[in-house]
Amino acid sequence: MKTQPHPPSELMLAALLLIASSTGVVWLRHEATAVNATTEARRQELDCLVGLEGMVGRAVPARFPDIGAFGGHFAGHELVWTVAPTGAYLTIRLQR
Amino acid sequence: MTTPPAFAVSRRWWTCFASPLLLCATASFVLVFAALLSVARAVANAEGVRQKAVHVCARLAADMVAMQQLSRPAGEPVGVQIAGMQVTVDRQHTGWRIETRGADGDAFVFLCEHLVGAAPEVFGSRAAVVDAGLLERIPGSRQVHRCELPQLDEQALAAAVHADVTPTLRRDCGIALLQWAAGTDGDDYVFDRRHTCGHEVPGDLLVVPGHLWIEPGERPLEFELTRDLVVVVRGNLYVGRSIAVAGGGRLLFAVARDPQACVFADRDGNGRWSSRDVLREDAEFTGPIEGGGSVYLGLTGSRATVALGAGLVVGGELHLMTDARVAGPLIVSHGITATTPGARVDAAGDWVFDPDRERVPGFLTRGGPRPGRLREVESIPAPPPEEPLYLAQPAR
Repeated sequence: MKTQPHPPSELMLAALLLIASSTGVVWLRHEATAVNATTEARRQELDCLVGLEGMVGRAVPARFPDIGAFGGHFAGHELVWTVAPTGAYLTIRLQR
Repeated sequence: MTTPPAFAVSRRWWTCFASPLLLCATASFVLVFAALLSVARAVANAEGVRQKAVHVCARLAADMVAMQQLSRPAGEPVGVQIAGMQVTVDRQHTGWRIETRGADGDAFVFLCEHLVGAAPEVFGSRAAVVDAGLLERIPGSRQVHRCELPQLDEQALAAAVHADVTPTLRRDCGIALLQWAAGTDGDDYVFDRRHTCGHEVPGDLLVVPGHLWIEPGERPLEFELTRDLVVVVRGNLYVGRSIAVAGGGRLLFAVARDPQACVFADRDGNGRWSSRDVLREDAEFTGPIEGGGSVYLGLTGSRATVALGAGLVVGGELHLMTDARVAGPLIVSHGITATTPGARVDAAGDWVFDPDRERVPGFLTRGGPRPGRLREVESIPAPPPEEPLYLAQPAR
């Protein structure tokens, strides 16, 4: 079977379509990667927060974990341990 | 010769793919669709983390407010703004009702009990023993000093429900004779099979002024508990079969000896003091022949393993006639005597108490008052508006 050669305009259009879609795919994957990276950081903060929440009401631990930087969940705020006779608890206050 | 229809269709499709524009469009569609899927997955993951974070942040804020409002008397609800969340705390008679509402509308309601103090610390351990020699017999146990053992709160016990007035338990004069030739000197109680264990007990503390027997049987004794229940036995506890607990509540047996009874290791396993037994006290043996504070896991007719879906505080000696498994905290004040050689006890540690934030009924507390563990509730109906009993003005 003999095939007809494709017109140049069709080839050009196909190339443009491929370039556009490839660019879009690269951009989408880049965005997905960025979202995943942010999510992973938030997840680690969340695990730390869950651990901290489990320590509320207990005696003050000897070494506090670094709890100042929870920008992802408490934007503009910081967490500070407050020691009370009944045990330590976390205070959420505005970042100085 | 004609082409079969299937080949004809296939050839037509191949002709379509032979077009570079159509091929690129199809490939683009597939690639973009796959990329969109990965973006959607990333966004879904992010949303999942966000929801969990909102929940944890709300709990932290509620905990903070509960701690700060500890000394405030009951009255009008108080609203506090914390990190973009509106936290409303309402001090009620038994605790606090805390509602958090985020800027994006996520709302949580927590209930928090008011505790008079922290529970004994040993309840946070899967197993605790006084005698260091028992550490290797109960893997995972830790040694505590005798002064760290939980002490019963006599005032709470005096106000608690006693076995004589609850239909869950009844006295049984013959149960001891089925096991021991001489029976027991004290009163013997059994769970009444006509009632569902646990349902009829008002409150969370039940006192048995004698020995408690759980007869041997094929099926476990089932408890239906919607809240924690502590059964204080002022005598011995004889467990002949497994115990299963359902309903979300936890069961704890606390076995304490009567002041007149002596604690001894029943080496010969006859259920009574005899010359071969070992006294665990300095004084001479006095009181009832069966002693007090002892726990017997396994009786004649028991299965190979007795599984207790409960916690156990043994004020006297722990006797093993079969292998045993204890789901909750296991606290042993004296020794462990295996009346059947090789019998072992396993402190599984399926659950423990949170002594700083949870109440263990019937025991003395330590430290000052504090808010209990937050308990999230789905929704609480708004209280009905108060209506005056009498009209301010006479009706016309």
